Amino acid sequence: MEKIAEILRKGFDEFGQFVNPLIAQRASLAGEPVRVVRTKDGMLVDGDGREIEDLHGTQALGHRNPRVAAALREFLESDAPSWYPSRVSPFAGRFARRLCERTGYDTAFFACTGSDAVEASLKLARAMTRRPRLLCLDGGYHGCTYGSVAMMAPGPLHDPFGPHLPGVERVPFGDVDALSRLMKEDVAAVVVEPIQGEGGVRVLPEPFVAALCELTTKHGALLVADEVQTSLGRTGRGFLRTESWPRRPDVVLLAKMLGGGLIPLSAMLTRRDFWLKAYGRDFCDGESHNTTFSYNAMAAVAGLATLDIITDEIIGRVREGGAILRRELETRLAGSALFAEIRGEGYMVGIKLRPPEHPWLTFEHFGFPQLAGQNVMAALTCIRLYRRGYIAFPCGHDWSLVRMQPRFDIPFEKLTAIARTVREELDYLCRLT
Amino acid sequence: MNGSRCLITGGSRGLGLELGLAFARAGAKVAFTYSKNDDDAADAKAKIAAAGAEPLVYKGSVADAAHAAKTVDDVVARWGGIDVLVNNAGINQVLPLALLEEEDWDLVMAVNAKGPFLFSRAALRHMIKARRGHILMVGAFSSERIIEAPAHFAASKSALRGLTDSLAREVGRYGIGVNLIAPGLLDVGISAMLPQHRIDEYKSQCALGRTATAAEIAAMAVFLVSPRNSFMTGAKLAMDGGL
Repeated sequence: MEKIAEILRKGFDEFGQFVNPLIAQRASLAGEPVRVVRTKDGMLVDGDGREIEDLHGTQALGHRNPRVAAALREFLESDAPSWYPSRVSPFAGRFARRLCERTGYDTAFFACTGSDAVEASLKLARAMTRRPRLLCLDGGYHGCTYGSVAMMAPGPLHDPFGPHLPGVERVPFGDVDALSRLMKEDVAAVVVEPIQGEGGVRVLPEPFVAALCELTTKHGALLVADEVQTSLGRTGRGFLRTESWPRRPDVVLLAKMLGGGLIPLSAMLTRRDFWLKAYGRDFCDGESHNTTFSYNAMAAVAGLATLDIITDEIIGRVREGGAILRRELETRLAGSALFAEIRGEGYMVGIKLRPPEHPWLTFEHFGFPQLAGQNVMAALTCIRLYRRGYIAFPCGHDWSLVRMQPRFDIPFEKLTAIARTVREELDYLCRLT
Repeated sequence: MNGSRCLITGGSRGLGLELGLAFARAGAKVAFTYSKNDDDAADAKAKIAAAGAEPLVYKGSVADAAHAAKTVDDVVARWGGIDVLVNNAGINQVLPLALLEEEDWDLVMAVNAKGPFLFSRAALRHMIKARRGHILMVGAFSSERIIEAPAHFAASKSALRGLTDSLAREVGRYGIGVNLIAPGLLDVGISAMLPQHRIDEYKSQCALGRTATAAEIAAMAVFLVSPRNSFMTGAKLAMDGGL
């Protein structure tokens, strides 16, 4: 194997050269901490020894979590197979059992990414109901496979890929009347995020959730909760955010930190009778939806370690820390002309910002006329935060919000420091207007 | 350049490395400085050695006067003199004016403008005594054309024009040439930080319709610092493919 140090030295440039030059250029232009070469106590460390707190959210357990790493090391030091030609993987079996015991579902399908899980749910819904229509919400983000992209909000992640999957229709966010009008007996599934992440950290309103639960039951459509962002305790309101809904969704989707941040892993959880109705007719149907690495042992081992870490106590800590972060942000940002509101739950927090009123703080002035009219504030705030050792991102579908999703074990005093830093940077940007 | 004693600042990668390789192939002795990356420097050292010249390597910031003086003195001590200095080390930050802070300005000016002054002063002390030598400033096309460029970077590279003129006038009497080469967009180094649409725009406006290779710039540099360049000083050569 090539030496790790050699890869860390040359690989960043090779990414720009051989993978995606625009990602490399964007990160460089924005001043993102790109050349991170170590991890320390869950944080990233760059080549100059600067520690960086990653608020992206994918690394909910901290970068290179030692317990997940130890579990993977233990597996690698055994001689157990990682992939089973029969697909009957004992590791996938154990992980599925543990997930089901934790969530109350009784069947799991595994894959690599959130998009894979979304795709699995769409196919399950159509295979089970044999109905054509799929409803989703405006502002949603469900990934980048064709099924997922069909449900994506219009824009560069959606527009280039038409014609899209037929039968997909969008419901205006939170619009109960529109949902009622669109729900018919030909709807296979309604796919929603309990809190839209890229859509602007928007919590699904309770009246809409109530109608959603009722109408999907009434019309026999599957209620699919895309919990890729909100599950595993991220919101501080249970292992699944949908635990507090009037009824349990028929399908729930997990990904992101499910593999402990070290292995790509996603899951679709559902009811056994649904799965059997879709795929249980004969042996051929049983493998109608499958992927080669669905049941690989390494991913399951990482998932099992993750489940061990995410205890109710940890979720309680997320709830407590989330309240601190939101309170600190609301208190410290109050009075800033650029601050609008704080959104979110637990460690899924959005800072809504007002656009600066000065022509030189616009995308047009920065030489990006194609982005004219977009709120520049989230991008500017993130650029300033990079300099201060924090990685945060604008919401993909709403560039007026900075999204912050800390790791679950972040020290509480850091939450105060984050809020203080955001205020300082907003003050700096205010002085430029 | 047979036996010519050359010092290149910022010589561990990009254009600086290409200059070292070109000089070595032309028969020169090569020394270079670098600021941070020991591994890159080790790679560059090996490549230049393979090209025919076991280089002297110095680590430090070009903006550090002590580093400049010590480096030049060491080169002179080991080789008995210095014939060529290339002020190549440079940095850039792509920042719009509104976000450009005083510390950003100071940093870029320190490396891109103060550094060449410090190294030139240190080298000229020896060149003047020897009554021969070449200094080559590596500028940028942003000081030659009205284009979009970060203000501090453009200003720092424009400062090199004045420095080149002033030094050329002052040390010409000793037979020392001071010139500036202003590359357009290259396939390496700072240019690679630009967004693709800027690179495409450059290509569309450039007569030759492409970016330059570092080797093309290095070939011209070899001429400018070689004995064949006997009557050119104070020159600013834009190598931008015809903007």
